[in-house]
Amino acid sequence: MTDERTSLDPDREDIVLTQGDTDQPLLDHNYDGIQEYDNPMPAWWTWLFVATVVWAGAYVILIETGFIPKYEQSLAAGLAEIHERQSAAAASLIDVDQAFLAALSGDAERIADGQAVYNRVCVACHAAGGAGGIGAALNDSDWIHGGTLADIYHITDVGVPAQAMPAWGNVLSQDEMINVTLYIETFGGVITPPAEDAPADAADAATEDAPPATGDGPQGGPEGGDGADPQADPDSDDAEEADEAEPPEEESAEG
Amino acid sequence: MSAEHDGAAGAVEHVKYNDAVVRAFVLATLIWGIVGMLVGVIIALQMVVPEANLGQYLTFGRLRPLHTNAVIFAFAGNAIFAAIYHSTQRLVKTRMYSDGMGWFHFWGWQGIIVSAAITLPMGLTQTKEYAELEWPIAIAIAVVWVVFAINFFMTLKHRREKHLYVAIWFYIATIVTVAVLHIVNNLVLPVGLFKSYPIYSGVQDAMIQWWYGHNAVAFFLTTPFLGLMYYYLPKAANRPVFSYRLSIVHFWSLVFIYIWAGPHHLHYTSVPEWAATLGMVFSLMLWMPSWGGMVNGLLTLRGAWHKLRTDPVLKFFVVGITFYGMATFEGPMLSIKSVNALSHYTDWTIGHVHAAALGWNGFMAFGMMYWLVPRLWKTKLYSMKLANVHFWMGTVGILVYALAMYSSGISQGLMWRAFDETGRLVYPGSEGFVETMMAIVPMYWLRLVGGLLYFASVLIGGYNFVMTLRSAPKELPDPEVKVRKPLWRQKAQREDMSGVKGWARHRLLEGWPLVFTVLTTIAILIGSVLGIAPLFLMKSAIPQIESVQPYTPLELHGRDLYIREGCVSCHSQQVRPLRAEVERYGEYHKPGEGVYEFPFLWGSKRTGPDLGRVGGQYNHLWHVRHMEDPRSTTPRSLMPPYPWLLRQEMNLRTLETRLRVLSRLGVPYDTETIENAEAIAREQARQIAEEIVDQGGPQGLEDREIVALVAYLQRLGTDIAPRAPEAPAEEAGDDTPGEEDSQ
Repeated sequence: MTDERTSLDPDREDIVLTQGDTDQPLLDHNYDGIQEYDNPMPAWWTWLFVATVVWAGAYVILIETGFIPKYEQSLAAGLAEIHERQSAAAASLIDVDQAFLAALSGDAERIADGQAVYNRVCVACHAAGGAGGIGAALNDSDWIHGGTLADIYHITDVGVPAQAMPAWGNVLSQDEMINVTLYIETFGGVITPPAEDAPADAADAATEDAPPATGDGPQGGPEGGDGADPQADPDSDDAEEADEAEPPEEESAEG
Repeated sequence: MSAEHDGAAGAVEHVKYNDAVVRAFVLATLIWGIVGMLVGVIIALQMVVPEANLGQYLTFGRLRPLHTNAVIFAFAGNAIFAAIYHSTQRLVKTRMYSDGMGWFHFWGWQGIIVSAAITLPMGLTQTKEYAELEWPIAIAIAVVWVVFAINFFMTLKHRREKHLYVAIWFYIATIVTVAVLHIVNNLVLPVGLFKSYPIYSGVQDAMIQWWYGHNAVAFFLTTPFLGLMYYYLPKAANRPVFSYRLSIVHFWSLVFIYIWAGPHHLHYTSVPEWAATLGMVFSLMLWMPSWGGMVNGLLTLRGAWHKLRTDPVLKFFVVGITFYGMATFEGPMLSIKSVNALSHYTDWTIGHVHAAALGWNGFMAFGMMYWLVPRLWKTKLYSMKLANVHFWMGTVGILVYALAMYSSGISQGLMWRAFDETGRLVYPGSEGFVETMMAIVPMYWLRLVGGLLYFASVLIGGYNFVMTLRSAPKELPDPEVKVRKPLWRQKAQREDMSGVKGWARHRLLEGWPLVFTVLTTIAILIGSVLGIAPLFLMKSAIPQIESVQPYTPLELHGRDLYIREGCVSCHSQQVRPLRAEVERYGEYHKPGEGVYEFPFLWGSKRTGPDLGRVGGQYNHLWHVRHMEDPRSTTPRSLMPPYPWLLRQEMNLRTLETRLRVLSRLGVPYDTETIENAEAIAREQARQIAEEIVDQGGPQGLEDREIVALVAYLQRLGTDIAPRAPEAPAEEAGDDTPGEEDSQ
C-alpha cells in the first residue's frame, strides 16, 4: 500500500512497532499507515465500568423502593428544618409597637443606619427624601396604609402584595426595619396617633402573605427559642416569614 | 480518479484525493473560530459592563446564541468536516464520492452560518439552545447534512479498504445521530417565514430539547473529535493505536449510553423524577466509555512522549485529550442530583463547557490544523515558535477561564442556598440576588482575561497559518496515491471468518458499512425511544392542572418578545423543589404548568433571578422603569437596558395566525378569541397602559411593546396561585385530577 505521507514529509521514520514484550500488533490492520495493538483493556477501566453499571442498578432500586428520598421528601425535610429555625427565631423577636418606636425617635445613630438601608433598598421606588415614584410618596401626610411609626414599620415588614410592595421582613433584620422607619420619620410626613392606640397584636389569620411553604407557620412551636429579650413579647407574631400580623387599619392585602 | 481497469487482481489504481475542499474547510474553521470567539469576548464583557450592550441588535440575549452557534457549528463544525473529508479519503483509499456534493456541503454550510449571523441579532430565534435557528435555516441544515451523508456513505460504498477503521465508526455515528436529533428537535409549525412554534410544549419540549442538546454535545463535539483523534494522533505520534479491543468496547458503549443522559440537564425541574434518575445513572455509566477514548489516546503516545518537547501537534492533542478526560469526569459528577442542585443555573456549567470546548474541541482542532496545513499546502509551517506561543497562551487562557468560572459558580451557588441561624436566606430578594452577583464580578473580569488570552492565542495561530499559506506553491494539485485494486471485491475472495473468535469477530462488521450503520442507528434509537416515549404515552406523567389557562393574546405577544430579546439566556423560569428556591422564589414548578409553553422557556442559567413566579411581585410601573433602565429600580444590576421596548409599536399583524397555529397544536383558543385576537390584545394593552399612568408612569404606552411584555411578566407563575397555602398538597402528588389530556 502506498503511503502518501512520504511525499509530504520525506524525513519521517516509519512506524516502529516495538513497544514492550506484551504489545502485539494486529498485522492485518493498516489504515493509511496506522496500525493497532491487540492490547487488552486496562483492568481498572473494565472494573470501574462494571462498578458504575452496578451502582446505576442499585441506585434505581434504592430510589424506587424509597431508601433514597425523592424530590418532595427531601424538600419537606429541608423546609421543616428551616421553619423550625424560623419559629425559634420568631420567639425571640421583640414586639415593635408605637410606643417602642416613639421612644427611639430621633436617635441619630439609628437614623444614619436607616438612611443607609433606605438608600440601598427603598430609594429605587420611593425616591430620595420619600418623594415617591414607582412607590407612594413618604414625605407628606397622605398615607394609604396608615402613617404612624407603627404602621410604617408594619408595612415595611409585611409589604403590600397587591401593590407590589415587598415584605421586607424577609430581607431586612428587625433592627434595620426599625431604623429605616425612624429615618422615614425625618421626611416629615409621619402622623402621631391620636391617642394610646397601639396596634393590637391579636393573631388573626390573614394568611395572605404566608410563604407557599408547606408546614405550619412559626406559631407552630414556640419552644426552643433563645431567651427572650427584656422587651420581648413572646406572644408577638411579627416574625418575618409568616407573620399573619395584625392589619389594624386596613385590609392591607388581597390576592 | 483515474484507474487502470484491466480487471486483473492486484492491478494498481491511481487515486487522487480531493484536498481542495479540505483546504476550504480548514480556512473556514479558522475564520469562524476567530469570529465566534470574538463574540464570546464581547458577551463576556457585556456581563460586567451593561453599557457594552450596544443597542437593540447587539444585546447579550441576542449575541449569546450567536456565540454558541458560531463556535459549535461554524468553528467545530468546519473542523470536523475538514477532518472527515481529509481522513476518510485516506482511510478508505478512495476519493470523496462527489466533488460537487463536497462543494455544495461547504458553501451550503457557510451560507447557513451567515444566515445565523444575520437572523440571531435580529431576534429571530426558536430559543432552544443550540437549535435557535428558525425553520427555513433548520431545513437548509437538514438538506446540507443529507448531502454530506450521501457523499460520505457513497465514498464508503466505493472504498478500496475493506475494513472500516475506528475513526470511520465515529464519523458514522456522528452523521446518523445528528440527522436524527436535528430533525426531531426542529419539528415546528411555522407562522410565516421567520417564526414558528414547536409541536411540543412544556415538559415534553424540555425533554426533546435536552435529548437534542446533550447529544449535540455527544455527536457533534465528542464523537467526530474522537474520530479525528484516532486518525491524526497516531499519525502525528507515529505510533500504533494502544488497543483495538478498547476501541470496540468504548465505541459501542459510548454510542449506546450517551443518548440516554439528556435529562440530567433537567434535574429538579417539573420533568418527572424517574426521567431525571435515568439521565443521572446513564451519565455515570458513561464515565468509562468516555474515558476509553482518553485512555486509547494517551496510551498511544507511549514511547512518543519525548516528541512532545518539539512537536506542537502532539502538545495540542495531549492537552486536548486531558481536558476531554476532565470534562467527561466532571460531566457525570455534575449529573449527580445533589451536585446538580448546587451547580445548575450557575457558572459552574459555563466553566465545564468551556473547559471542554476550548480544551478538547479547540485544541484538537488546532492540533489537527498544525498537522494538516503544511501538508495540505505543501509547505513548511511558518513559525514553530509562534505555534508554541499559541499553545501556551491558549492553555493558560483555558485554565484562567475555567478556574474563574468554577469559583464563581460554586460561590454563587452556595450564596443562593445559604440560610442564617434564624432560618432566613442570607441573600434574599432581588437585593440579595444582586449581592451574590457582586461577589462574583471579580471572577467575571478574570474570565474575560482568560477568554482574551485564548482569543489572542487563536489570532497568533491564525497569523502563523496565514504566513504559512503565503509560502505555499501556486499550484496545489490533488495528491495521488497508488492503490492495489482490492481483491476482496471479487466474490471468490470473500473472507472466511468461520474460524475467527472473540474480539476479532467485530472485524466482520467492519467490512459491512451498511450493517454497521444500521446497528449504530439502532443503538442510538433505543435510548431515544425508551427514555422519552413514556412522557408522550403516559398521561399520568403530566397531570393536568385545572387553573392553568392559555395566555391571552397580549401575553402571548409579550412572550414572543421575551423570546426575541433572548431573556431566557439569563433568566430561568423553573423554581426547583429545593428549600432555598422555594423560600426565594415561591412554589416550585409543576409539570402541568407547562402545557401551553410553546416552546418551554425554563432556561439553563441564572445570571439574573428566576422569573417563573415573578407575576404580581412588582407593579407595572416597576417593570416599565426596570426595562427602560434596570439600574433605576435595582441599583448595581448588570442587566442590559431595553429602552426600545418603550418606543417600538407592537406588531400584532401575525397575532391571529399565531393563535391559530397554537390552537392547531392543542391550545384551547376558541374561534372568537382567534378572530378577535388583535382587538382583545389592544383592549388589554389599553387597560395596562392606564394602570401604568395611574401608578405615575408615562402616558401613551398602550401601543408599545413594553405593555405586552409587562402583561406576560405579570402573568408568569400566577396560574397556580403560588401564595395559596393549599397548593403543595394539591398538585404535587401523582393522584392529581389528571383525567384530561395533557396533549
